[in-house]
Amino acid sequence: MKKIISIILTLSLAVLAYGQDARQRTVDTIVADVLAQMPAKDAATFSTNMADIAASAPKSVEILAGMLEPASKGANNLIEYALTGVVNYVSDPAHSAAKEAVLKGLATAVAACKDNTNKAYLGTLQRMLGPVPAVAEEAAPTLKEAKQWMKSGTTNMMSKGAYALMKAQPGKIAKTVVSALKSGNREYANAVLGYADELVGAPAIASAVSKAFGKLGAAKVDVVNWIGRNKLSSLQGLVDSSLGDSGELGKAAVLAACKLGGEKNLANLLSLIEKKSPLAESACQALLSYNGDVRKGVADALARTADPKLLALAGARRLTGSSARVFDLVNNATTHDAAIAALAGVTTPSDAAKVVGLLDKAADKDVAPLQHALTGALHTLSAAERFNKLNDFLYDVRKPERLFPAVAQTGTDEAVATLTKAFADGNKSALASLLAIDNAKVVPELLKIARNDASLADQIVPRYASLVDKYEQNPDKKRAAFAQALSLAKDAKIKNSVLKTLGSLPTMKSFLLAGKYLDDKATAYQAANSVKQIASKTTEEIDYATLKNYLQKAASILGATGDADDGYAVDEIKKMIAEAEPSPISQLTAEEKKQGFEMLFDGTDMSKWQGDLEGYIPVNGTIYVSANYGSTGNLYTKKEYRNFVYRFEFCFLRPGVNNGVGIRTPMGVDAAYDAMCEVQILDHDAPMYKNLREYQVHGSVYGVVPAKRIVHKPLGEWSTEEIRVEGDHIKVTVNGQVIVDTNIRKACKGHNVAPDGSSKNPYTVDGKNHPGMFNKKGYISFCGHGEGLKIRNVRILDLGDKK
Amino acid sequence: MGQSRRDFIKKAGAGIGLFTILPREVMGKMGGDNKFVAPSDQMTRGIIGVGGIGMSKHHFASDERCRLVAVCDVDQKHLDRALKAGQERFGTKLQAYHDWRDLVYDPNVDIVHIATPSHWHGLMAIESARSGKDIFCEKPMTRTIGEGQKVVKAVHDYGRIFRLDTWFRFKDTFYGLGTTVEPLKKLVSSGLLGWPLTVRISGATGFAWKFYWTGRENLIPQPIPAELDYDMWLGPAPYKPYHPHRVHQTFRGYWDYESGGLGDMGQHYIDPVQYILGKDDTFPVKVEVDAPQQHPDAVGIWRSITYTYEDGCKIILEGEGFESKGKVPYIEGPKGKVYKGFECTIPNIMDKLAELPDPEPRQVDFLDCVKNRQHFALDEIIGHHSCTVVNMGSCALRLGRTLHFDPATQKFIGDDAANLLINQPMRAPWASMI
Repeated sequence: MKKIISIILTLSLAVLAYGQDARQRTVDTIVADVLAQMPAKDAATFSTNMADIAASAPKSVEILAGMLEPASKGANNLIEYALTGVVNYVSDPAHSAAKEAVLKGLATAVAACKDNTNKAYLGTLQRMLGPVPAVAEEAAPTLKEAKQWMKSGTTNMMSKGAYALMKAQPGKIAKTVVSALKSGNREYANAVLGYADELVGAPAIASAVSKAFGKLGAAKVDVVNWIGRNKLSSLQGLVDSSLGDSGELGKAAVLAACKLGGEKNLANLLSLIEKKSPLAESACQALLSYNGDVRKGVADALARTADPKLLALAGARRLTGSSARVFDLVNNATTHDAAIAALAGVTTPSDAAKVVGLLDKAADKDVAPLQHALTGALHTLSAAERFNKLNDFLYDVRKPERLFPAVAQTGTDEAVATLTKAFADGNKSALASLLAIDNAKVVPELLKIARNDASLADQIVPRYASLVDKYEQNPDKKRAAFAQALSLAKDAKIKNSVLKTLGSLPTMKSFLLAGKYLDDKATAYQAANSVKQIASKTTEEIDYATLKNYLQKAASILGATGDADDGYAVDEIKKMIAEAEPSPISQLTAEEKKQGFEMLFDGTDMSKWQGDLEGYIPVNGTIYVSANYGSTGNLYTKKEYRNFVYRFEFCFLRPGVNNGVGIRTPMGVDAAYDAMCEVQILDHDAPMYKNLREYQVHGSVYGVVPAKRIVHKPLGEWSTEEIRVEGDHIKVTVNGQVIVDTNIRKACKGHNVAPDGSSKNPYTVDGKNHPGMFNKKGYISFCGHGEGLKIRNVRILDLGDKK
Repeated sequence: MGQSRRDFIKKAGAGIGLFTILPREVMGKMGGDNKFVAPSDQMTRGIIGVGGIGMSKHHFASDERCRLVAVCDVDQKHLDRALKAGQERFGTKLQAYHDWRDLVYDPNVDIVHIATPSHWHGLMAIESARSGKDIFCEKPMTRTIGEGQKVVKAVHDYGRIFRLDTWFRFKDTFYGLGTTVEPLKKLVSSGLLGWPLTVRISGATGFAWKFYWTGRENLIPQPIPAELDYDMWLGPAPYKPYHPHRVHQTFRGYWDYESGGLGDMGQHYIDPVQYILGKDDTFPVKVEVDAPQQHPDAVGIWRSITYTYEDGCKIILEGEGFESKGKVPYIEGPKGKVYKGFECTIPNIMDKLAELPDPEPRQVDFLDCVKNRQHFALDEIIGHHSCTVVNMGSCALRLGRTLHFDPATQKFIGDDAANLLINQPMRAPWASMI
């Protein structure tokens, strides 16, 4: 490896020369330039580089091959890219001019190569440029052999023999087929029939087969199948006669008729149904795939004959012209069920009132198909039209709940409102329809119902989660809704369905949420899958220790099932773990150690902190702030401090990040007023803050002392900050620049609150009272205001009571 | 191979029996109805390769229609685990084989189930056909186009029944598409979308290309574990020093054995498309790739692979991370588009389709096919066609250039190096077996 690296390093400058004419560079330089570009990222890069190598072959090839280290060192990949690349390049007919030179280079290289694996590799390259070897054709057996095989009694050998014989003697094909059909060996008979089709085509043997047909036993079935698949209408007669059979042969004939198509077969199949033949069911199935238009035939047959199977066909083919007949057949006991089922296919909006009438009076068993029919009748209307029509019906019927599914199916806002109201009014059957409705507005309603009645939670949660998944765009709100769903669900199956949906939300926090369900046996398997899925898809950083912990758990859960897909998943997980990088650990400098600084956050350890440990999460050596806007989301030191030097590094991940450091603060208060102060952390360069007041810019003692305005580093880059607090004195240094250095008691002339006790304080810059300003001690906090801040390397020098 | 062979296949593709409109749980089952099966009607099956897929609950199964009687693996741990599972799950002492040929020659085995890495599929299928066995083969069907041609010939010559194990052309909603293939087939055959069509198989239309199946370069040789017969595992593949990443669950990342996510998922995704487009009897004439340069050993990623048929139809594969942005149709024609979940730009499409016949019935119960000697709905010919689409893609990736293909001769046009990839050398003694 070393050799290649050194060449690449020394010649990385030579890449500048890249693009120059290859002839002006030495071959060594060309090779090095190319290696620096391996593997080529696209076809253009590939061509330019390989053209250079090819133009300088054989020397370039010899040099490259000479660089190969023994294969066991595992260091040859770039050379392999280059060598295989040039071989592929010159193997292209468009670039074959250099082929001989490359081959020459390879020949020299093979002779010089000492490593067997490399030698084999170079041999493969030589072969790639060699001639295409002729593929040896299997010798055909002699006629004598073929005939012997046919008598062998072993079906596969008989088949091969028959094929050879028929191929050699086309005149004997018909005879061979007939004898195979008569042999009683269907496996053999079918093979021979197939060969005959291939060698002379089915029509050529049709008459011979037809003559023998009467004497065939079970092979008749094979012949009829053969007629069907070859669409041999000349043998229609055999199909007709076979339709009289009620067993396998009859079924084969039905299928053949279906494939042959035409008026006659259609009439035959319909007649099987009308006569209630044992083949009626097969005929009905066949008519669905019939080779031709069956609509008129089915409609005519239905007009003549009241038959459930004809009704099914009418429904499937949407014979709206037959709707009156179908409504009539609802009243016929033998066709009642089939007619109701067919209504969905044959009705149009003008039939809707009639369907609603039936539905209102229907026996329970007919309700579902009639509801389906109602949806079918209205399906050509727009959602709004459908809702309006249904809304009118709702007032006319005795059982409005039977219309709810159709109402839900409209998916309109009005439908959500109607069904929500119905449920609230005590019509519990509205819930099923609320669960079916596809509209974002139903989401909060479902949540309300699930919260109010825990017994309904498991019924509601899966739908709730899937709608959230579909409609909620904000990933964190989505994650929060899934968390809500998981906490509402009782049954493990339901939890698992939510975990599954959660798996498609690739964020760091959804990873943490899914990970919590790895330890419960009932949810472990799904949680493992989701954890894997999230980790593989997320572009967000996940803390290394947590990532590894959860992925290892997931791997052991998935590995235990022994299932193939799970095995693949385990391998994928192992790869992810191997590729993840451990968290960097921050350390005190030698000088800080000497001075007595203490590490408060080194990258992983949150043990010196309290408060919102959900919102402030260690991610790969940093505290990642994800506290929600407006929440209490504050992180506090465990210890209280009086005087101190506080150092940390921060970095903004998105524009407009807002946070702050609370100084000498009690827990759970607004540090800007009830602590000594809040030192502002703010991306004040973001356009949204262009009207910022000066006491709000980064580093300001909020509301009391404006800081000198700095220009922040670009998003994603780290800044250092030091806050020194001694008595009433506070000094803020950012990136080495002092931006606040003041005595805050003096700044407000000793009036942290208005002397007159009012809420307006003329002595502070923001005109507000700061009752905590003279606190003697308190915690140090991060005051969260939304996502996007990273903090690391937090250190403190406790100065105690020292001034 | 003349035109008649392909025509025969096309015609023979559908057989007697179940119809495609049957509920999906009835179709394609290995068994499971409750009627008594006489022992003489019972079929038997042996699995070669009981590592991953061979041990899955669908395949490592035994019932009264078809009994599992034998297993084979070159990893003793796999074999021991399968024997134990056979005892526990079926109360059977399975016949164990180390050499797959012994399983293929075992007279007690009717059906050979090939569940090895794909560099073995061709050889095993051919030898099984010669031995009078019917064949149930995992996808992708073969690692090279040439092996596929030879499997087709062997199955044909010896009159065998073959099933390739992917199924989206006849059951299940396929992947992210949210629909079974049938309405798509009906829609396309109806001509309502116009012609030619472009099919996009991409994350944007609901398909994942599993780019985690990439190989590693610079593998440092490792000692071969005692339980593994590595030489037999490699079989026809070139000898390369052992590294655990080459074998078992990660083998797909190496060109010697498969072709990464393309090999893993390609046939699942492309086979239904060949059916939908009515291309089961032909091949694309051109394949173009947009990809970083590929390593000779380790499979890498790609941005897109585009296939073009003679009539202008296209299949575009978009690699993970390189998907089209926005709402992208799965199938696009001059007169209409269809998206995930069968969302179609043609108004009232379901009503229009209701007027048309359903697709021709197909035989989708493999055991019935074996019993009645009928072609399975996804037989060796159809399997070879869709697998060749996959393998054309890997040839173009490896060479890093556009390739032109002649469907009649099944060879690349004017490109010797590409044609060398059609029939790749095999190690002794396996070269003489194919």
